[in-house]
Amino acid sequence: MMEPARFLREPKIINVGAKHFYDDLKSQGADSVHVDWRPPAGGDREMADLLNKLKKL
Amino acid sequence: MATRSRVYKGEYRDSIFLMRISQQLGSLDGVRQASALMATDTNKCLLREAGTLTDEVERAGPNDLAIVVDAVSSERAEEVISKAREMMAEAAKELAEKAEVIYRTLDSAAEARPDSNLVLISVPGAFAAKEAERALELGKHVMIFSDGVPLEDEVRLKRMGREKGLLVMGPDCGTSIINGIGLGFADVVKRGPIGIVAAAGTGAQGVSSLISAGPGISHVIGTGSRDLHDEVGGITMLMGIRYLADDPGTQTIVLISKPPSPTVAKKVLDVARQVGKPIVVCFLGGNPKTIEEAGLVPATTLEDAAIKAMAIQRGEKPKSMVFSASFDEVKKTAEMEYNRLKPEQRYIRGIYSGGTFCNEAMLIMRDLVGDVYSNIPLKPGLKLVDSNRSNEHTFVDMGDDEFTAKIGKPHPMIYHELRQKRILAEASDPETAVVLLDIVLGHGAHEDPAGALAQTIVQAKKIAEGRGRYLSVVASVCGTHQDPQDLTSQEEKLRSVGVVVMPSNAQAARMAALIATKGKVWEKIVRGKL
Repeated sequence: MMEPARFLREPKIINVGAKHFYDDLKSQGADSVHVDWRPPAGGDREMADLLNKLKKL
Repeated sequence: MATRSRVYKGEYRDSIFLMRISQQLGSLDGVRQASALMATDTNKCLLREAGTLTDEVERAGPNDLAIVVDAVSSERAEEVISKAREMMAEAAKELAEKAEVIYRTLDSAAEARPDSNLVLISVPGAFAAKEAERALELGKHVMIFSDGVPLEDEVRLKRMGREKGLLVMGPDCGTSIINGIGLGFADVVKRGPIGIVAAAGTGAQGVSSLISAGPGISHVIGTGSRDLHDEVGGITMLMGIRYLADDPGTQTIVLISKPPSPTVAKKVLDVARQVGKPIVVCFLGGNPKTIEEAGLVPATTLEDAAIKAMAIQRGEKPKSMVFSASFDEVKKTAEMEYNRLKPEQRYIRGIYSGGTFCNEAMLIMRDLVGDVYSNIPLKPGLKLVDSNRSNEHTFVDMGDDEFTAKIGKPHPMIYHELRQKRILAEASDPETAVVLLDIVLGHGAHEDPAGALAQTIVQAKKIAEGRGRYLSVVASVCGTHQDPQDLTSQEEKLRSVGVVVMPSNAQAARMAALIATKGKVWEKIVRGKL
């Protein structure tokens, strides 16, 4: 477990999804990186669920 | 008119990016409608309803990008599609020029940045819980901006977070500010000693921007709108209070929410009373007695919460205020407006982008003008039969699902078209006395909301004038001088087109009531401190 309040003192952010929010974080000088998220398994829900289960095995 | 489309297999773009492209294409000459979207079932359904679903897009899948343009001619539609591709290529080029490392998955980003401690998630709702779960497994705090996450997933994630000592802000968490960094929709605030935990995004923006003009803000921890529901039990608010209690930079705390159930309220107040720092509690529309009994300071409106927190922080006795300007000045402004109204102009039409502002204004109205109809009514009997048609006093939250996700339109904080149409419709109604508006600034919001609405307001006033009436428009701007849009210049844009601009939503609501009742509620406001 990480020390609870560190993220309040020194937020280091991973942005997953809308790039617009990453651009906002950068413009504020935030320590951040961007994940160019894509729907898993090409957006196929059933396949995505299956992949997720496999990951946990 | 001619509809043309193009499908790009396996190309994914996020919804905010596509919305911006769609907006820009829609404003080009000769274009009736333009959409850049992922070919999901929902989006295809929306295109079908609009009569612009082509066979090609019908056959496309949810991971395919589609551009659909309805224009004056097929040539023009094709030109606009090419333009869309150029705009997308330009965005990709910009990214490449910046030479930034972009990760494909949360795992790869976390591996490259093991010291990261907070994950901001804004993927489509159906996928958000999985990303959040992975973030928690990796030992990171989470903010889930996405909505449409099932309640059972929220409960599961928050319990998991609590066990690991990790905060889960959201789902449906619009606003947080951590150590001065705004996440989602957030104003640029002055740093200072007052911390906020809020289950209401625009509520957090309203209070933090007002406090920014005073002592300033340490952190804003958003919980998501359902955190204080019985099923969730306020897990994030309770953890948020403890974090701010332990945070040496926070000296005064403000809690903001709609009134929780008595069980959750008791839990929250029990934890809050043990903190040892002064706490102002704004359960909008709730009973202040239970808060007072817990030894905490109740606030009736967002502004009241900000004023009381600032007074406590300065070592002064907290007191309420109804108008910041002198009573003479307020009375004079109201008179100038209502003296121009016809007797049949009796009703207020609140056209809101912030749900919490809409709710707050209705609570103020309830005590001043009585029943207000709404799509988010204070009691079931006041629900509008058709949210697109006003009835007597009507307040509409245009950020609600039925005006956004369900019809594939972006939130009114970034997209004004529906709100503009509604303002014009209200101007045509002979019974409309006042149009009441909120304008929200900050990161995430439209680059010039007052500018976009000012043109509509000029048009609305002209419509009324053409029919021998005067239309009163009252507004408040939620923002700060440090915001990219700048509070003063946004207020000035509204004033220049004849809008009565008030310093807060609560004051704007009171002013609207004064004007619509032609001054009759003055005593009630001043004596009752409503």
